[in-house]
Amino acid sequence: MTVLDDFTKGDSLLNPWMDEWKKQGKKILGYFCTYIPEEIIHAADILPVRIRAKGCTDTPMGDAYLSPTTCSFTRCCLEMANRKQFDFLDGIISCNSCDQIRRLYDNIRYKTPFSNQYFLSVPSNVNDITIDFFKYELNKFKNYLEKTFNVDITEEKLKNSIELHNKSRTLLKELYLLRKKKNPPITGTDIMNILLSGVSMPKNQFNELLTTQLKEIEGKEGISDDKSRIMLVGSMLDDPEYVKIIEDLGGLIVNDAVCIGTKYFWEIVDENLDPLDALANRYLSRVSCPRMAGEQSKRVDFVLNLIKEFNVDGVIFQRMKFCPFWWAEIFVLRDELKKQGVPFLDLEREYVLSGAGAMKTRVQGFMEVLEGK
Amino acid sequence: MIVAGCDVGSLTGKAVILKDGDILSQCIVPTTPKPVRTAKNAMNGALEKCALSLDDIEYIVGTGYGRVKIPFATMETSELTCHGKGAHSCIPEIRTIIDVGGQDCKVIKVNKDGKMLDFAMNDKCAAGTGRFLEVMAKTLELKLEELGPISLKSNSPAKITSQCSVFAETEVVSLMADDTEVSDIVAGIHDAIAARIMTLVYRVGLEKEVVISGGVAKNVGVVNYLEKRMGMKTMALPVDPQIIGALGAALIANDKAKSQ
Repeated sequence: MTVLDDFTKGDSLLNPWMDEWKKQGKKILGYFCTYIPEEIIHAADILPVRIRAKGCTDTPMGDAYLSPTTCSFTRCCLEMANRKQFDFLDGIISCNSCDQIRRLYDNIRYKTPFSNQYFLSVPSNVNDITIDFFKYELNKFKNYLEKTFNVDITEEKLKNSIELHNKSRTLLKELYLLRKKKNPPITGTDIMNILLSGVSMPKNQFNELLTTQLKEIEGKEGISDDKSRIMLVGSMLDDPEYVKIIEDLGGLIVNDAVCIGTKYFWEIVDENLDPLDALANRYLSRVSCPRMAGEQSKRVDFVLNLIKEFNVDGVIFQRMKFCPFWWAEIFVLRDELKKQGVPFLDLEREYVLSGAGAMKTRVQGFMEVLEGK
Repeated sequence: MIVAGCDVGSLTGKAVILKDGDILSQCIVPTTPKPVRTAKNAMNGALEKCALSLDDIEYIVGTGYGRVKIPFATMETSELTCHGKGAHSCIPEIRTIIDVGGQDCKVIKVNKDGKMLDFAMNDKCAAGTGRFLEVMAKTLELKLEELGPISLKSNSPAKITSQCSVFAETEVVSLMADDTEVSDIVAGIHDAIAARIMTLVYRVGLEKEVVISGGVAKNVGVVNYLEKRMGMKTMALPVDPQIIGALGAALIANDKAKSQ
């Protein structure tokens, strides 16, 4: 029994940590996007849990209400909501991540409303005015939580929450930096399980587990039987099985630019500022998702830097079908990588893993390209 | 030294046997629901033609969709590498290979040594593949091999805009209802396939010389409309374009056997 076995429990809708939390009579709120600050929810003594559609196999209702040409993640979520699979949540928090997530919220609110639901408005560009506006929105959100759950979110509570979440981020980054080694001590599949646990369990417990994990692998001999070092870039991905297919073919994932990965934790929140100011600043200025306008060159640089720093052999783009943000983003990234001479593979996917055979052919072909270099 | 390559594709299974690098025999069989059986059928067919048995073969490389299920293969390689190697061995000037198979379509870029540098494959969709042509031939009550020559008779190809083979069929049905000339419909279908393949060509980039491999390369219509869209002629392969994957696999087997 290692810590990693513990982390695999995070790859399910409900897990022992959530059960324990609920037994204490405490609330759980589901949230949809990395732009929603967990800190504020935590400061209300509520467990923030990232909404996933784990276990969804088909989407007849999702297709009927959202049309088959919306991204499969939103359709799977709607299916799960309609099938009462999210009833363990005491409410949901959504935001305007993209139009599809926004309309998913509208649809859930109309068809299968939760007793508590809140929509956070997140600006789509970054400047002093939008950061001010976002602070105002975050304050409104804080007031909503205080009123709805009858709690007092003090400045001290917010500061403690920021500190706790920063600790998480720092530990995750420490873990990621170990992958810079010639023989990284951990696979991308294990990392995915760790990340998934991180967004579905109390942060203090997560930090404890992660600290133990770091100690456990510190002196461990690294992985040396891989063929290539791969960076994973693209749409919302929360499927360890998907990562495992790539790694089983010899492509060791050494870092990523996906929303549950680096985009979630790479930058910390300034602990010296007023908490809401600091949160508004960090969440809008962090390395962005393609929903943000005017930030593309920064995102490209972020990917190019990680490729250099982590000695990446090739990039695998995974784009969810009907995810226009990422499709357009990958078009630009492909061009930039070509200029830099970095090989890449462009994979289309659906939220529910299917067509593994076709995926294996492409990944194997890519490994053969990289081997020949 | 006798080696073989076996390519279990979505619509056909192919086997090529090489003796000292030259083709001794080849065989194409229809795919069965079981990849193992398809592989055996293709291999037995090729062995029969040169009166050899499986024991005479020193090294076998499997490729294609069923590659992991080929029981007699010494190793497996993706069909991408195989198509690159197979086509390049026929014509060393080749830099771009467009392979149009049963359910896949791929554009492969190789260097002067035939090493694969880059590739692009169709997403999960059968439009622009052999399966698409089969469905269309059935809808139009034509034989598969009639499609290509008929398409060349058209002066004004019909417009088929749908990106999906199922919806393209619906479009074809409405064109039929409008009494559109069959040759114009068939030409439209071929041009639509060419357009789909061009998407992949744009992704990888076009570098001379170019060949088309795979079963669909035998269709003069697809070749014609693709050449028009690319604005250049493709080179004709000196062997059956459908066996290029199996040939590439056999050549890899030859290299492996040599270095053993």
